[in-house]
Amino acid sequence: MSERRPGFFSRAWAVCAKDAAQELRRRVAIASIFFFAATALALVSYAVGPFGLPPEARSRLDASLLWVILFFSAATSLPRAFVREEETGTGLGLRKVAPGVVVLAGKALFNFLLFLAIAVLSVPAFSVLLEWQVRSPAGLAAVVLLGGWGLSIVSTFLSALVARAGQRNVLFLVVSFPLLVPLLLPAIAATIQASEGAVDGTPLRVLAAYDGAATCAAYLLAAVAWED
Amino acid sequence: MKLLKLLLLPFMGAVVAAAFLWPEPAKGFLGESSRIVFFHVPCAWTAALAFLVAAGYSVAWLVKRQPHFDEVAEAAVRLGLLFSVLTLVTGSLFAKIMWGSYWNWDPRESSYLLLVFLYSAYLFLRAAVDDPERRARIGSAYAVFAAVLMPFLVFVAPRVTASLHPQTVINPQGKILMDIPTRTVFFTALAAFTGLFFWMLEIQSRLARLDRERAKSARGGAV
Amino acid sequence: MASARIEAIALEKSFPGRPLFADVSFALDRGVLAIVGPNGSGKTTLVKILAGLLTPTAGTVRVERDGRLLSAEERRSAVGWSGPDLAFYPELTARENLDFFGRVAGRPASFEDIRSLLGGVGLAEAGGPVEHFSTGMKQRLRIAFAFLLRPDVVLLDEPLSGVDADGRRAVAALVADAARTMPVVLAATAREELPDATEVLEFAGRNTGQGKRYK
Repeated sequence: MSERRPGFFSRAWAVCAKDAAQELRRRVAIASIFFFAATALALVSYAVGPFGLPPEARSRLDASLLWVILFFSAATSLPRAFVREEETGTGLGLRKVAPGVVVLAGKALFNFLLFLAIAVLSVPAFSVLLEWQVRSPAGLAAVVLLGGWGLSIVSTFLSALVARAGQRNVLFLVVSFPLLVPLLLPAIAATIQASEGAVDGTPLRVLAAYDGAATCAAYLLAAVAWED
Repeated sequence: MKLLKLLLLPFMGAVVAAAFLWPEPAKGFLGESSRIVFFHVPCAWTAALAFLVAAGYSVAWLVKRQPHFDEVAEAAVRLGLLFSVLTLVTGSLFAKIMWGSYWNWDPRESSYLLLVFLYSAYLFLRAAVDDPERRARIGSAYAVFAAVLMPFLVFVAPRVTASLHPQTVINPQGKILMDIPTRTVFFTALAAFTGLFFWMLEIQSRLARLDRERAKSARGGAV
Repeated sequence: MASARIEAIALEKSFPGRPLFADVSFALDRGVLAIVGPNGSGKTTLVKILAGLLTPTAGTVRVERDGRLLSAEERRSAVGWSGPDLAFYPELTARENLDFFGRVAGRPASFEDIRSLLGGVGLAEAGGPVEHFSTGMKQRLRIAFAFLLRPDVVLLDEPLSGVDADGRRAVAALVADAARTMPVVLAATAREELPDATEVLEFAGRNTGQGKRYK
């Protein structure tokens, strides 16, 4: 029987869709992420306000605050990609039938889509609450996409490493922080440029290079993180 | 090899003495503070070298799966942690003299702080895993992954944002802007610190191997 | 109809300070091999090694189909496995779980296939998320998982634990049917818990050095 065997992407997509189905049925986890983002936004907006910052510092501070909100909202769910599979015991079945790269790709994709969902809701709200102007929306979209992918692939890979160790939650923050700073700094720089309208492309290029390097490394090391 | 090790002590001693006695202090720096370059930069170089050694041995372990490679990698990380802390300390002393404060969140200083976090994270990650085989595997995967992203940490991020840090030895023009006495002591210091690193690395990894073999014979030879 | 063979060559497994078993060898073309031994003797570990879920300290596992040695990737779908620590996604139904595993394995099963598979283990009427399943129902789903990818070899660890009389009959029928054409390896603590076996491999107990073979 010569049916076309599903390729890498449809297998990875199956993992992504399954994670999404689980999250949507549970609802608690997804709700708490958005609740976190909303709370952080409200806090920042209340403390700083649209006119609370001196004009010269505004674009730098606003960009930094935005990424703090985005990063920490995402961080409440990123480590769980693999950790939950191990905790519920489903990782065993998954490991039986699928190679590491497929599962990594699927979960990274899910985390990426989740990040985009958080961004799509948070960025406009942030812009309104803090009177934050974005002169180059295309530049901002580029940062969110590139930064979001880098964040997802690195976090998902590290989640796989941390999943079968002890003290997982603290461990994830400790191991991910040094590797995510070289992503967050250019992301903030590019966001400042997008808000001021003077996009010169350097931080975006750095992000793209980082994303490329991280994706290749994660792809090559996926099997190692996954095996037993 | 033993002769080289014996010579290292007097060699290092000569370097330290020369650092204070031979070259003139550089212009543009306060007092004698430019002499820090003979200690601070070799520490920084050694910390980065340690990282490369750890990453290289991690790759070797992933390919060959021999416990010795993992031991060397871990020893290299511990030494890297030591030397990067020394880099930060010497750098802060310099910063206090030149700019009046120990720490400025300057991108270049901060990148070495992040290296300290990275090394600590590697050791923390390993400590959380009980099974030695799995520990080696997870440690190696993290070391190699971090090595791929390290160029962004150490080289790119500081250049994307403006810096207080004095122009580095490897500067955009690609020329070495030191006079001859300074240059001699500097490169000799680099060699001395590199020798020191490899000697300490060998001792540390030998200790780890002895520990492993002792544990193995305590269990009656079972692996 | 493909013919398959599973072979273990001098398998050894030990954890730090705890040797589990050594020098375990067997070959099976067709029929049932039963691995019997007390708790902690290493049966589950051996079965997981055969399934490719764990790497042995020494020795190899060979799986052949039509005389050709299968690669590790091919073995993922060619070797069916179920064990007591296999869990399913609690928010999804039995059908959705099997559908997912089929897709992620790159061998999606049709609606009909899954329905008949669930029927074969007596779960045809089971709706609702798996988190509401009883122990017996979950065990039956595990058996269904083992047969999901149309395997050439089947490994079942503790296949009858927690299953009622009806379930036992269904599982025994599945095993007998499979054993006619492919190698089936079962593991349990007592002989009586398993359907008739062609061969039996006995594990002596904790920290045993040898696994013995006898018919």
